[in-house]
Amino acid sequence: MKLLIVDDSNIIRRLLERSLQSPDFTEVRTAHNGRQAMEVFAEYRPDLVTMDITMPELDGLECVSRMSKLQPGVKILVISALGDRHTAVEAVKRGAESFLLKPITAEIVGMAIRELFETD
Amino acid sequence: MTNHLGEAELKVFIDLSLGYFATVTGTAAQAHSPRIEFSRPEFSDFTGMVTLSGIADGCVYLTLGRRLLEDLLRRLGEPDLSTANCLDLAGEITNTIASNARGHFGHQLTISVPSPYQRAAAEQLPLPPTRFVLPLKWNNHPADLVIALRPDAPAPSAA
Repeated sequence: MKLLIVDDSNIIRRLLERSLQSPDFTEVRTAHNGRQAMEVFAEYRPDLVTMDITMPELDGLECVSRMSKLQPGVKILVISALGDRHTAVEAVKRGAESFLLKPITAEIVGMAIRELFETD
Repeated sequence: MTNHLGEAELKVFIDLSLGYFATVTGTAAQAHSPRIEFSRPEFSDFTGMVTLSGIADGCVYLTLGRRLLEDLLRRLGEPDLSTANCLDLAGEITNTIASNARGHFGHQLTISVPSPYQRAAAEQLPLPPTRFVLPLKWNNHPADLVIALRPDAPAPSAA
């Protein structure tokens, strides 16, 4: 499986890379803003995307919409500190599979990813 | 609309700040007595700041020392303790606390993308003169969570 990690924080991208090190993921790429995420997504076609929302240039909700249209069925896990119900509902409406609230730990992310694939 | 954060709203920020460290590191931070400051602000090595608009018009920032951030980076499993990563983490913590706060206030509160600063740059920022300061200590490292509202607003009441 191919993984794309999108977050404007280098610390969070690296934390997610370490957390998701697994033989299940054959390739991992990262993007630090929404615009770069869309460029990488179009060429890379990942199976799973972890997506921040508050980012410069293009926000995560818009990326979720565009990615879901480009590749229906892609699994998108939104990982954001925006904890209001409206944002979470909007993310799912636009095509996200699940929503994880920051702050996160490696254990929390690992569990969320496992649940995401167990629901198949 | 009044530009005012009351005791309940301030408690949201305090609880979220303490909760951040407890969740990420398993070690709780301690909050000390909050104070209202009118003098020139003092900054630590690194500051993460977001601007607020809506029910509160101003900014919230967390100012922390390098040792705290290095300690926290190690806890996160990050071996690179560079200045760039300290800046990144300062911004990320502030963004997390402020964005979590929007979970409580909903769309009444709008927050910006976080901006991180080193001390010299932070000292140049034009900030509102009245600030609510919550001193924190995590793992023996001090930090300040600061909420600064625009001068036309009533000063926030200390919790």
